[in-house]
Amino acid sequence: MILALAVIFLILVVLIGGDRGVRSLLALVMNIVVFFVDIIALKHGMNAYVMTLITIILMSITVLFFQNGYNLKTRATFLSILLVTFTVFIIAVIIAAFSQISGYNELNMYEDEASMLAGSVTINMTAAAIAMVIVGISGAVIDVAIAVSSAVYEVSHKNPHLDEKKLFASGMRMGGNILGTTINTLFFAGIGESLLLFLEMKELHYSLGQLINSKALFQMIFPILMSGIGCALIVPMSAWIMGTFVRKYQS
Amino acid sequence: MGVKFAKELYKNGKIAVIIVTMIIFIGVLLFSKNDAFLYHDTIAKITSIHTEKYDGGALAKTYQQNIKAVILNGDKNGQTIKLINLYSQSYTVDEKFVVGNQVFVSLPENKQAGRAKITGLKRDTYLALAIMIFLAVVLATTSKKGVYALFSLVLNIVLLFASLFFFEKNTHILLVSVCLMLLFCILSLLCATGFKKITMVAIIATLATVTIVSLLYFVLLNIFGDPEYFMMEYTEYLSNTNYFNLLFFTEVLIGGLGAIMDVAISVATTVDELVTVNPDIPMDDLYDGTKNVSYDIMGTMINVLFLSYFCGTIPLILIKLINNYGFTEIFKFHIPFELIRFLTGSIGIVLAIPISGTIAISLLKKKGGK
Repeated sequence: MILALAVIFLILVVLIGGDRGVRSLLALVMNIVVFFVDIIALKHGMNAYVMTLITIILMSITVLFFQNGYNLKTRATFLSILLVTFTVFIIAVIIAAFSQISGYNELNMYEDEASMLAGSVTINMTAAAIAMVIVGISGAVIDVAIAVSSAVYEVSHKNPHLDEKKLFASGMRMGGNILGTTINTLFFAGIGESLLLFLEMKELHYSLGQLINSKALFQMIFPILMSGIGCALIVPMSAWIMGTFVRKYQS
Repeated sequence: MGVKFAKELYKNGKIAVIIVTMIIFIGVLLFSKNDAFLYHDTIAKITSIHTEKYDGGALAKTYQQNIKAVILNGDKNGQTIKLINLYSQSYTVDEKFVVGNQVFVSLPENKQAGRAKITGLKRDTYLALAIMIFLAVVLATTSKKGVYALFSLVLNIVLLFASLFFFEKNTHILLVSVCLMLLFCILSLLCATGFKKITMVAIIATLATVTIVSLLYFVLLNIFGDPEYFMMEYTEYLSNTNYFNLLFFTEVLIGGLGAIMDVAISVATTVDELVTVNPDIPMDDLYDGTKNVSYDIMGTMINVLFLSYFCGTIPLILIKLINNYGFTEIFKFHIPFELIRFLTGSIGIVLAIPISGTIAISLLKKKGGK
């Protein structure tokens, strides 16, 4: 079944996407490789935060410089992505320090015989969880960043006399337009996995109190919220950085 | 500049909105920090922690926290209790508490029945904090558009919870799934673009794509047989095992729905813009213009799906890797569901491009020609 799906997927991408399709497949493969390296490094006890930084940089490089070329636009986007992921990272670390997002939750604890597996784990699972949240948001953040930067770049190209403030405003407008649908996408991808979780909670007669304090729920919602925060923050950040870059570069 | 900015805000009446929103947010946070009286279970606030090493015999280092906490609700309100918590250096199945955490505790009936135990962390404050930061940031960057987006989020969550009542009864699962999809799609797209022609185009395109993907999925399912659902997460306590097929299928579709809608709306908007600017635009130019935009989003959308599906499962896979599970075993038993989700969603994204292109051009171009 998986193989069949994969084959159909590949055929469709090449058939419909043509050249561009192949290129986005290559980028996907590169991302998967980076992802695997990240996992293996984590397994061998590398610092999860350092690995996150490296992973984010590598993934941005593949998507930005490989797919869109190395130029002023992609450099500005790259910088804004780094700044925003770092900000979200700080927020995530602070919240995670109090709220315990790592490891098994109360529901999947018994499915994997978690307690038997746990004894030999010596790496910090909280750090690993945060690392994965941050890597996970990078896709959507890069997406929004490229859209906003491109818009600002285009506008400034067509209207060379607009000042930074106007450029920033046009970037914000553009960002506002796509932020809604991006959050929608993230939301559905996030809750797609939750139907069975919620059904199980119903089966166990969770009260409202149990629900909002549940680790399982928190582990599900936390990445969605962090992605949303990242996507929202990247709008003003890339609008501002792109606007400044374009004007500096011209004078 | 800052003063000028503030004056502008004041003129627009925005400053009042911002202040009211801030007050509401802070109010919610303070409330969730002090809502212990609403709970039946006993809640205690940790006031001091003394940590010492604990020899558990396992490879991972274990520590013991000797905790003092004050009870916040019930008839023992205000009493100080002593609690013990063990945690390992990996926090895989255990938790390390910090001073200020509020925890649920189970109290012994009497002195002989043993000591009080921590049954879980009170997480609602942190959940509220994360939600409030999210709302604040989204509202600050998008103003009006963001309100609609958030409104559609709330609607969709309500819908999802409403659907659970039907799913639980085990009857008409397929019917409920179809209705759920329809409502998700129509409501989200209406919230995103309002009552316009492009909204209709996007809705039709999304539904057509979802239908084709569903047919494909079921054909494949019939040929290759079911995946082994018992390996899936959150199935342990579910009794309606006969419906896993449909439930999992619904999950898969919901997961890809957002991305498909995104593609549909982008394509519809592009076609609409091209036709509005030049009503007599030749068909070839129209196709080319649409293609350029859609391929831009195709790659990134697939990437977004990939990352959101796989990053969530990595921590647990990591635990298995450390316990010497092989990659093939993990591939076979632990991520097939994520793979099916990802591949089906991606097929939906790719298919959405020609489907919404065709529908948008045939519906919008006619109107432009009149």
